[in-house]
Amino acid sequence: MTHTVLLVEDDDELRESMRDLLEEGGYVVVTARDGQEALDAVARVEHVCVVVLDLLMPRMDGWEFFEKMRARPELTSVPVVVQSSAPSRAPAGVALVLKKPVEPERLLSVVREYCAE
Amino acid sequence: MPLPARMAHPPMIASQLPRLVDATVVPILLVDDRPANILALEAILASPEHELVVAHAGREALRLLAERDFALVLLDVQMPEMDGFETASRMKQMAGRDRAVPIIFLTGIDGERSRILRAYAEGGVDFMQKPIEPEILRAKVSVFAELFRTQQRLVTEQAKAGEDRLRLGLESARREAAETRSSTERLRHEEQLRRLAAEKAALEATARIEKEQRVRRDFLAHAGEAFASSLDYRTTLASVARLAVPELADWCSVELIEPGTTVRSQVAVVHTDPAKVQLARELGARYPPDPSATSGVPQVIRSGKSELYAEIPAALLEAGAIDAEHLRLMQELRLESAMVVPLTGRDRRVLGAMLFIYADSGRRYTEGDLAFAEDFARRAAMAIENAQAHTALSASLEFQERFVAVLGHDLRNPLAAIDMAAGVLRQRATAANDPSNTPILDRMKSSSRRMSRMIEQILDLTRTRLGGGLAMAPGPMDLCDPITGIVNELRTAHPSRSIVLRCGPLSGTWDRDRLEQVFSNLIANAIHYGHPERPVTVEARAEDAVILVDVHNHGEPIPDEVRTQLFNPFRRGNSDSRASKTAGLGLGLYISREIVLAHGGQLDVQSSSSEGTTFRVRLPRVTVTLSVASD
Repeated sequence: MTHTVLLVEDDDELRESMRDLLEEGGYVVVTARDGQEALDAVARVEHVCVVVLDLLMPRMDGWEFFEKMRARPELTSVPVVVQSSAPSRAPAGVALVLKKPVEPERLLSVVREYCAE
Repeated sequence: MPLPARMAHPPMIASQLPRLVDATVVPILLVDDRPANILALEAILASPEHELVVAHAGREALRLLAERDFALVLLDVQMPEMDGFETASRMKQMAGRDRAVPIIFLTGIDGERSRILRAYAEGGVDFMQKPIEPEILRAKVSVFAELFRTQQRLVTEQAKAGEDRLRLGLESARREAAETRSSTERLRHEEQLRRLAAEKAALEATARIEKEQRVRRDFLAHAGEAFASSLDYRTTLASVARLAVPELADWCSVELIEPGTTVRSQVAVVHTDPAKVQLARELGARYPPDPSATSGVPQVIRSGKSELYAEIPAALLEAGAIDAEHLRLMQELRLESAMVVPLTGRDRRVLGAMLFIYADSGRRYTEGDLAFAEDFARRAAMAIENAQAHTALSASLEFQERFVAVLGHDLRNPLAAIDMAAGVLRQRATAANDPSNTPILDRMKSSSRRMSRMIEQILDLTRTRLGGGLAMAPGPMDLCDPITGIVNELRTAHPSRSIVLRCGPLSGTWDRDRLEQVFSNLIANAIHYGHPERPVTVEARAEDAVILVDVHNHGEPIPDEVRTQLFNPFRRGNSDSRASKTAGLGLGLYISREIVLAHGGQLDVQSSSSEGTTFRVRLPRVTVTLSVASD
């Protein structure tokens, strides 16, 4: 069983830096640039242990993605961790809310919690 | 000759007028349930020209309004029992008013569009958001004060005309009595004829003056309402031009200079005959006025001096015509008499000009008409400037919103990316057991943390200065929890320093994150600026309903000139080399005080060479948000 993290972030540099960090930490990382890509990805990828979700994104934002994801029974058990510059506006029901900028050590420890070996 | 309707009323005498007041003093009603807000309004508007009357509730305001007239009501929206909207709505329904008293709503920080729209719907002519900008409030009030004075003056003049008429009647009666005693029948007959002729002339003159005054007063009142009801001054000027026709002009047009340019644009053309509007526009389009013309609109805009053409002789048109077609168009408009008045704002800045023309109706403009038009144009200019200031303010508010969005969102992503990238390198170095780059990576880490803190601080500064203040999310907590946490963190970070903590359970309702910010700032400052070999003491205790937290350090006192500036933004305690190593923005104490103030508390400092330095935070147990922020 793989430890796949779904990383949803529209800022290219930040997304790639986070991917590097998580891959360095031994995780498989699938990325999406907006909510729509993320929805396609969760349907396609098996064994996602956590979704790290930005909120303010073009096309489909984090709120809409979360709502659509929660509407799918097979995905309700996948924890979603929000990282946003507007943490107070995170949707109810997410597992954890982190305020940008998230320290790398903090990101690793959070992901480790949900994707334990 | 039939009497105009108004003369059917018994003549009014000035002293009998129910609501006539001294036109030099303008009565303004201030309605707010909070004494602190009333005090602030009184301070802003204090002037020998204003009579400030205070009401602390909607009902009290309605009672005062029933008793007397006011030039303006400043109405707080959020009041207990009867709020501002309801008060305004009842004001509108009050019987016996020939004039709606203008209302400026004072709204709290929460100026959503729906509330603003509702304010207008309830009869408000304007709204202002707290905190009130004194200059803007004064400017707005001055417009209504001017309007009120003019209205009062017209009422006085009208009353005087009534008195004159009475006096004439009395005099003729007296003459009649004398004549019956001493004159011959013939003389008496002649005298009677003269008397009747004089009376008729006097009556006609009075009727004319009254009509003129009524027309002017109605025009001013409607124009005042038009200006007050909208900030879109272009549309307003167009409706003002419509109001001028046909009573004050057969044809009225308004031209404005585009702000910051010399470009003129015609914002309104109104003619009694709609077909002529097209003709007038055509004339303007085909033969635009020469900007260097030595008379007419261009000249008035240049000089700021009005022009009166009681008559427009055919020769003048011929002289001004560019060609035969131009002359034909002008002749078709049948211009007979004209006035051009500048729209002059503050500092003699000419904003545009108004053109009044009598065409087919055979009327002629007089010096009196010109004086009235100039007076009106001054008021219109004031309204235009206010609207322009308001537009500029909205633009700056939009700018602020964008600024906060950039700070809050757009800057964080690249910073987070740098931080992550440094994290990747640190991980690789750890995995390879290679410490050679550790100092560099640590500096990257601490710099990005510092940058992140600075962004937070600038964001807070922006919120306190430009927006609606810091948002507080108070909840039940023990104040000692965050303080203990911070002290422990700082003990770890500064193992050589001694921090003494005295804190019993202190329960209350506060914003935990925000207070952590405050105490972290104060205690870190005490360590930073305090004597390195003496302890820093943090002591928190309850005194009645107030919690006191003292953060004390020994060492050099804060110099007086620094202390007075200490809570200002972008200041730092001192600029010695030690301070500059960890230079922040000098916003910490400013933001700390703002946070404490937002909790309804106080933050003060005492500093002397014998006692050292103590920062004292006073917090009410339950957060009461400030009046200005809570509305």
